[in-house]
Amino acid sequence: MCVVLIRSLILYLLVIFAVRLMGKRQLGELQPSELVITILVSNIATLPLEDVDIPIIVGVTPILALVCFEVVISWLNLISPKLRKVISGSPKVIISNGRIDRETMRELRFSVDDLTMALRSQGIFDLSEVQFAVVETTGSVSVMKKSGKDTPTREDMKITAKDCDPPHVIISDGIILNAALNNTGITEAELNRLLRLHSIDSRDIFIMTADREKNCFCSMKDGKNLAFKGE
Amino acid sequence: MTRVKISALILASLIGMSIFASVWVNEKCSRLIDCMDRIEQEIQEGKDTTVSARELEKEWTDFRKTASVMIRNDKLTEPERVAGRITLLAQQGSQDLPSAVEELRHMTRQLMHGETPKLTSVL
Repeated sequence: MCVVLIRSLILYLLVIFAVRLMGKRQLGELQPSELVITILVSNIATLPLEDVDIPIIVGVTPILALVCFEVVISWLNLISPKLRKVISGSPKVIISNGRIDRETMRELRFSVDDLTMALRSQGIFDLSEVQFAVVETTGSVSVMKKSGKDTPTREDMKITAKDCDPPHVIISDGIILNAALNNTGITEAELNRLLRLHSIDSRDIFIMTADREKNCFCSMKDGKNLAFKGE
Repeated sequence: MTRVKISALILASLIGMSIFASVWVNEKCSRLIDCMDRIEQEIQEGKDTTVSARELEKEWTDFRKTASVMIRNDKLTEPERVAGRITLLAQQGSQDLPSAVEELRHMTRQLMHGETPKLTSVL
């Protein structure tokens, strides 16, 4: 049992390492090759766990080989559009100028039910609202509505708004995150002054966010929330 | 780019380790087969095979220790069983010794073939 436990820990660490090595793309929408690798890695990792007769290196080698090969291939995909097309395919347009391309749908084996389901998942229940739709290489559908049916923007309504980056978490569980603080343009001294001004101890803060406009939000450990603006 | 470099490094290491493992297994198995050839020659010449049998057992034990890290246990279990009998058969001057040696030789050759990256072993 001790052997199984140690092997489980080793394989757990290895799988975590493999997933991290594949990068953030792996955790989001999957390309076909990435999906294959994910399924393979999860299946291969169970073999040395279930059977102690399999040396751990015989279990580790295919996992590392597949993951590393996938990373190298995805890098080659970046530099070679031709290879990218071979491995990942290319997006296909199924609705253009409001008209459904039946030929492309037939080529993709995309039924009417698949199309309507994909549109419903985007919040579109009326086909007449769709201007343009693309089936991505991951199988998901990206949709652009007709201008008249789309949600108006501030620009459409002639409302001016300043562009700004989203707030960053600058204090997490009482600890000041200096890298995030630098992104806001607020110095540590300035932050401490702000907190003193509002009688807040940083150790009592659960989460604090701030943006470049010095709009701050604090969620305290006792459950209270505070919002204020720095000078 | 760091991930790509790490991946390329790991791939190169895996290739290197695989080649080393294959070469090592081949070399060790060749030495085992040489020991078996010596025992067979001694049997034919009517000489005492105990020393050679012990040498074979020692070679096999050394091989087994390291090979268990890179070869599945079930591939080593049968040869282990046969190799364990050889010294005893040699000490007793048993008539079963030649067949046991031949059996072990056959299994050793199978191990070599299995670890050598040829088309037949890969497919």
